[in-house]
Amino acid sequence: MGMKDATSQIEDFRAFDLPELLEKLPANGHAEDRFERLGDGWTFTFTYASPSAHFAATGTGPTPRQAFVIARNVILDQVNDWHKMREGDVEFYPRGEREGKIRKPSVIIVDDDVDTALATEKIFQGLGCKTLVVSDPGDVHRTISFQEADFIVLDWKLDARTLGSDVVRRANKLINAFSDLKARFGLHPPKVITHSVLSGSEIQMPEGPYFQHFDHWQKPLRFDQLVQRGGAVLDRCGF
Amino acid sequence: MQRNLNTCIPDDLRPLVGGFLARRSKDVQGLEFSLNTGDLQAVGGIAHKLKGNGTGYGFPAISEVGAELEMAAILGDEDLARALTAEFKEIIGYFQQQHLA
Repeated sequence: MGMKDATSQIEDFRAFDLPELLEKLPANGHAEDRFERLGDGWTFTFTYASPSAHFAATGTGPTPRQAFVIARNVILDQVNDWHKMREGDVEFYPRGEREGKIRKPSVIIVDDDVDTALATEKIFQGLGCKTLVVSDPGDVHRTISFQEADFIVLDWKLDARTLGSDVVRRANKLINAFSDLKARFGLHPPKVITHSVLSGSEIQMPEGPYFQHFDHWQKPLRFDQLVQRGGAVLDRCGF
Repeated sequence: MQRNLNTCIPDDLRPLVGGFLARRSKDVQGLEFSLNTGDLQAVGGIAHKLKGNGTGYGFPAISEVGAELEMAAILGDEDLARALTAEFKEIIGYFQQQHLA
C-alpha cells in the first residue's frame, strides 16, 4: 500500500467514519485519535471520555482502515456494555421506585430557550414528575436516545439549523444501532409532546417505532393553560 | 406606548422573573447588535423566542412584540424591525421598573 492510499484512508476516516462513531457515544464527551505507522502496518488509538463513560481501544492492521475497524469494534463492544451497566443507574428514578406501584412520571424537556425550559420544568415538577432539561441542539438526540423517559416535550425549532424532526431522525438512527435501545424503545416508546409557535398541522413527525407523537402545544400559552395541558396528558396516560 | 402592558405573573414563576427580565435586556442588546450588522436572520431568531416565552411568564406584550418583530425580519423590513426593537427596549425598561424595583 502506497503512502497516498493511506493518506486518503485517513481522510475518509475523518470525513465519514469518525463522525459516525461519535454519533453512537454519550453526550458531552471528548475524543482523541491517532494513527501511527508500525513496521509494515498501522496502529490506531482512540479514547473517549464523557462525564458518564470512558472508552479506549487500539487496533493494528496492514492499512489505516483495517486498524480503525478493529479499534471501532472494541469501542462499540464497550458502548454496549456501558448501556447494560448503566441501566437503572442514571435513570430518573431508582429501580425500587420504578417497580413499585407509585412512581413518578419522567419528562425530558428539550428547549434551547432557557426561560421556556424553566417554566415547563416548573409545571411538570408541580405535577409530581421527575424532569431533565436539555438545551444543546447538538446533543439532544443522544440524550433522548440514552435516557429513559415517559414523555419528551420537544421544542420544534431548536435553532436556525435544527428542527425537532432532525432530532427525531438522528435519534431513530442512533437507536437502530444498538439492540438494547431498539428493544427498550420498541416496548416503551416515549410520548412526544411537540411545543412550537407552529400549528399542529405544520408539524411533521418522522415515521418510526421509537417515538409516539402524543400531543402538540402551540405557543404562546399562558402558564395556567400549560399546567392544564400537562395535567391532561398525565391523566390520559394513567399517571 | 399604545400596547397593553398588563401582566399576570404566575406565583410559581415569580422567583424566576428577575432572571427572565435580565435575559430580555440581553435580547435588546442582541437585537440592536444584529440590526447594526444587518443580520435580520438573527433578529428573527431572537424574536421567535420572545414570541414563545413572554405569555408563559405573564408578559403577553413581550410575545406580541416578538411576533411582530419576527414577521418584520421575515419580510426584510429593517425600519419596522428597528421601531419594534426600540419599543421592546422601552417595554422591558418599564417591566423592570414595575417588577424589580
